Amino acid sequence: MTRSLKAIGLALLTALAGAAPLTLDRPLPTAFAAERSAPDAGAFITELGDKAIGALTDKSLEPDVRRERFRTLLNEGLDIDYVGRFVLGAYRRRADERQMEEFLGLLEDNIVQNYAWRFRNYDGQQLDLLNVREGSRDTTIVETELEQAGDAPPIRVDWRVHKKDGEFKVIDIVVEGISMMVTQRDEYVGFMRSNGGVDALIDALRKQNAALAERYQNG
Amino acid sequence: MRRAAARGLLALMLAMTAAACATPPDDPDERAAYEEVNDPLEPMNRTIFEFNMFVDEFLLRPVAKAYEFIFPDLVRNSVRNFLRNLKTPVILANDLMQGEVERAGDTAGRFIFNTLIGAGLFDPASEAGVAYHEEDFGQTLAVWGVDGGPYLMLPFLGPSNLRDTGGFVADRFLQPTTYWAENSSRDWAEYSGLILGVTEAVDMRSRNYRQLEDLQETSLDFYATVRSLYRQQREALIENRQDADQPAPMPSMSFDSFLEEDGAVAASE
Repeated sequence: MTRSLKAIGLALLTALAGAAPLTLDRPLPTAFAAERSAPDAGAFITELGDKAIGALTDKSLEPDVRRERFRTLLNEGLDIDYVGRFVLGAYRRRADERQMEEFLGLLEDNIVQNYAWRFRNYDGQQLDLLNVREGSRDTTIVETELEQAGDAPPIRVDWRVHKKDGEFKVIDIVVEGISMMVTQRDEYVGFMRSNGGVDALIDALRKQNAALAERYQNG
Repeated sequence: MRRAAARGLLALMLAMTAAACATPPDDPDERAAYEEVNDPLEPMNRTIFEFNMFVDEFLLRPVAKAYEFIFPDLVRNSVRNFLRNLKTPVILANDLMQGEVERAGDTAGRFIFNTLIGAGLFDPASEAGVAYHEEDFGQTLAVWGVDGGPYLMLPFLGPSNLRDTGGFVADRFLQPTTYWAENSSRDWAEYSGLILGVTEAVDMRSRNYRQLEDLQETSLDFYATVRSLYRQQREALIENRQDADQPAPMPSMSFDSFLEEDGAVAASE
């Protein structure tokens, strides 16, 4: 158990805890300037990180304010329609319009409830831009490194972005080789397989969101 | 672990294999997902997972918590450094079998440096810029082209697959303390492998305490989450992709528009 989960949980959550505190303290390598849209993608991630630090890390923020600010940034930075369909795996074709709409709303709430509060513990970690390169099928991969406190080695965080209606949107975050979207999909598909499909997932998410909201209010 | 115990474990696994198999789904999409997950023994694995979670909750977690509470960081870091140093022969042998000469040099250099200057208890090599890395025979087999095979949940030991389970047993033969234990007349020597394994588990659990808790609390299907993390982590380890200056291959996303892998070709699977 622990043996395998060693670095993973740590890396995943530390990166999310810092989620996007970004500073561009190295100039973009000129070699990438020639690549179509690549430097823009790096700037997109950097700006997203700066905005997150500016809007979310103030320790005196009211929980509700922090949560709604996080939601605004999430809608600006993440292609939730895309991510939502991806994490349903094969079940996305079985979800009708109403189910899909409901699921996407619950997924957004779930991400907000899970991650917004982590920003209150931010204490100046920096995310360094390492490289920007082209991925498959019109995606761009922004490679970054999250510095850690103490003598712990930095954590590698890669952002997969694509353009939607002319705007960059994040579609995956890969922490030390662990894809958040793949992990989420495997969890949801595993759950739906043994618990009765999309409706069961919608039900479980609604319950979890309520529980998370309660925890959030209480501390 | 002693040879007999390892053999017993394998025999147990094979015996249980016959007991329970999941039925593959008919839908082509679901079938693809089923094959990627490669968990034909899922019902049995889930039962063992429940058992492991029970052991974790009532044994490992309290012990790890106490361990973290009682000992200062200095002591716990020394324990980890000592365990890592002891694993040098296994890591070095696997570095070499994978043809990773540079990494083998790192491993050997770290051993000499940390043993002579760090007394085995400190890690001056990391501070000098030569970081620790792990290798095992499961990874070596993967580099040689062996597929992971079916996913396995091992009692006490946690997630694995057929290849990595074999690798785990093989690594015991690469570990000099195994032979020392078999030839020693001291009573406790027989259990030295077990003692080392348990100490390592406690150390790691104490380091990932809150993170694991979070992960477990928010997952709707923790078994599926662990299975996914294991697969992805092994793929990353096999590619040795933690070096930041190398282009990192991205995990493949099997979605309509995402059927290809980016970056370097994965070493396996």
